[in-house]
Amino acid sequence: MNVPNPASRGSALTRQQFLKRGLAAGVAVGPMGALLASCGGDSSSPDGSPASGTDAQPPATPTGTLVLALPAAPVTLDAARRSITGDFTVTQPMYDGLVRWNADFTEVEPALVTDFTASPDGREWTGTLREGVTFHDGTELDSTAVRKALEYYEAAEGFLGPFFLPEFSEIDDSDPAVIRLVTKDPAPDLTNNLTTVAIMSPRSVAAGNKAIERRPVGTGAFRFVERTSTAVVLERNPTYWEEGKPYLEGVRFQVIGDLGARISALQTDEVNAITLVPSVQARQLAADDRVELVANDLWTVTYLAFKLLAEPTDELAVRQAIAHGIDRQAIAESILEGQARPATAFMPEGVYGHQPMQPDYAYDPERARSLVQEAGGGGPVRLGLACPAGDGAINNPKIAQAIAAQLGEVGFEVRVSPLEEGLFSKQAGEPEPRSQAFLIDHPWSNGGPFIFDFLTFSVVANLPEADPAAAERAGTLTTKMQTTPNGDERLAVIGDLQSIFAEQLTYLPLFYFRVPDAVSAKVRGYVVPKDGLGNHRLESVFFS
Amino acid sequence: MLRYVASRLAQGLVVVLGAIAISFLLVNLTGNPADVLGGGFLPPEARAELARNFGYDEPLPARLADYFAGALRADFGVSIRTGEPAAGLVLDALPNTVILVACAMALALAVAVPVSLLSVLRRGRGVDRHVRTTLLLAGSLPDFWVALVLVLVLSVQLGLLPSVGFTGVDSLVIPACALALPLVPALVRLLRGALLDVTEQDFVAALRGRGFGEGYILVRHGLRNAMVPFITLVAFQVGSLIGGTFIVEVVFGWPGIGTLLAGAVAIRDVALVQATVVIVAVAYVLLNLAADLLVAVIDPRVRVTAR
Repeated sequence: MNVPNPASRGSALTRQQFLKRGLAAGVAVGPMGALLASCGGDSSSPDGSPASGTDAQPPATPTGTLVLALPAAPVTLDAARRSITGDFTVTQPMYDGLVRWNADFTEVEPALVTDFTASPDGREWTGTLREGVTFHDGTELDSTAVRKALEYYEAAEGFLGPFFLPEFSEIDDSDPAVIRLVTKDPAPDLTNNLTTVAIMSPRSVAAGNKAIERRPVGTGAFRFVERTSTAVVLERNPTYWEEGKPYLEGVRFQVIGDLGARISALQTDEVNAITLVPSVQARQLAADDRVELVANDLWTVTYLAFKLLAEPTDELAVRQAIAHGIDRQAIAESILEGQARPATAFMPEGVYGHQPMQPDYAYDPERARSLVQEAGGGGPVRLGLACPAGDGAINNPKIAQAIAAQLGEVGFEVRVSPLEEGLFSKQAGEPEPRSQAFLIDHPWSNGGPFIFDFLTFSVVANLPEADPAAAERAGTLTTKMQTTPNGDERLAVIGDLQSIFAEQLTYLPLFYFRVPDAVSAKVRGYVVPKDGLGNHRLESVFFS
Repeated sequence: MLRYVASRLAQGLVVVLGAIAISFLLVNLTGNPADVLGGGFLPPEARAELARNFGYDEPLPARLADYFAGALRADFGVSIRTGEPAAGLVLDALPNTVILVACAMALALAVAVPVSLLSVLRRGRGVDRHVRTTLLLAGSLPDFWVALVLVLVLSVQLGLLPSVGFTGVDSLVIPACALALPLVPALVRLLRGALLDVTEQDFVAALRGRGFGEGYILVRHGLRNAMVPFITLVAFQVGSLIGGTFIVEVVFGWPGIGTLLAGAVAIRDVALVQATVVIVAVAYVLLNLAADLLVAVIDPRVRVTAR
């Protein structure tokens, strides 16, 4: 199998395309961000290993039903419309992509294709489909099924799905066993992006979204059984293409809205896994023999986003003062209990394109104080700081309060507004909202430069209106980044792009997170996915 | 009696129409729902497109008229989560909530009635004082806290009962207890007061004079006379519970309308939120109507006064 090196992204998107496509993607990032922020904020001292029971041998026969508790019900079971973390967690076991991340998220490996090769110019991609794979409805996998699934993704305007696809000039399904994708521009990130693109049954995509919501059909390790307001139930796919897998009879995703209740249910063995355990609870669970903590370095970054059209953050000096006035190391150690690390770049470590940010805005209270004095004419500078609140974002208010206290030391007067996630998203979208700084999370879900994240650095901050020249330069570089093959030139483009956002300070990267899930001690092969989307590989999980 | 029923039905209809209007206006008071549905990361033109897709670009009066017309046919639109009719989803979840509420109320009554009788029989004595102090304490406990403590003790520590979901009768015990405990003080306070009033009546003195014991008088005659305000309170509490099990349902992952509503609010599933509010209002009205009719049957004076 030949899978091109993980790297960049699909085709270039114009701003207009971005606006059109961005509808539900925005829906996605709001709650998802909040959720991840919470987790991030949470995971604490008990570090957790990347996988549970890695030493155990897989069983010869299936070993029961895994109950995984989620804080909220999934919004959709339609892969092309997935937006929040729970959507991916629940649907991933039912679907396969052409390719997927390996278990430790270091390499892309084959899934529904056995090989996937690119032409030298990175525009033509050819994959041989795995033989003998059938969808849960009995339809055989062939190149036409793949084409229809990709076209369904492309048509999901306004949702996150289309962001993972480049603009195709041709999807060739003339040979049923081979899929040939021709992109309008070079698409160095295609393989990375295809890890999140699910191939749905052609019958179900023909029936449309409502039919998919009632009965999602993929080729995945588990088949859909039922969905209620508090649970989604899946059963083992006996004809799954990976020999011997899955090792479970089924999976039940149980919605338990309260964190304390999720933990109790784990301790009573009514559920076998819970996601995103906050630091305080992680410490408590670390001492419990019945439970194991599993954690991974996530490709998720928490940022402070600034509104460039609103006072006082319309002044660069104020934004710089904020950046120099936040002691990220102290917050990571004391509030986040060492399970978060100060961010040193826009993209997290382990993601292609990560490189130190310049300027780095190191903690420098003296410099912050003098900048505030300049901006405030001797008096305090008033700042509104909004963060998502709620069970899914339990640490965000704490982080915001810590930032407020630190900024108070250098001459700011900060009003913290913990907002319900919907209101948070709404205010973050306004050009001149009540708050001028927002705690926002982005998962770099493709393991490389993700176009959606780069575009939001500009759009959310209102850079095009505040500084059209800088926005245009960023747009040009974004387009170039999307089509430049991996290598020095591409890294330089990403570096330049990062520098624009760093110099303009539309966003300030704050933290990288390592968030634990907690599983019963008898659960083996459970891995926390790095992608920040919750794409668990449950086909490898089993009970000891 | 027929006129009485008709008058109560007319009042109930006004309440339901009010609930339809208020649920619509409250959802829309927060701004165009598309602003929230679209998230905060979209520019105005994209939000406008989403508003058009969801039908929020029409003027408010036109949407209100459409909504009223639909609501009167029990058509509240479809859930953005599942694409299924919102009313159907609420009606599917309602029986689970009704079961939970019925068990909680039965439990509360099973405690409140004997405790009230005991308290009146021993009024002014140590037992009465202890009962009142304990009830004051119980009344101040929030139901979600009671729920978590019960889970920690009965599920986590002792392993006696399940802590989440609805898998059988044993799943009912903890959530029903959590809902019942805060109800007991209000029920006891009202029933005790009503029974004490009855004991001051002339006919009770006459019964005592004829040699009937205090316990017999309270059970045989006192309870019936105290029933009028008590039934009204019970109906009110049941109605409140149907719409108020929100937190307990979320804590226990109970598949009722509280959990449904929590999920709907989180993702701004407007149709589902509105359907839930209106259906709960209808249930509330029907319960109160049933209570009024029961009271009228027990006490004919109510029917006369109503005329």
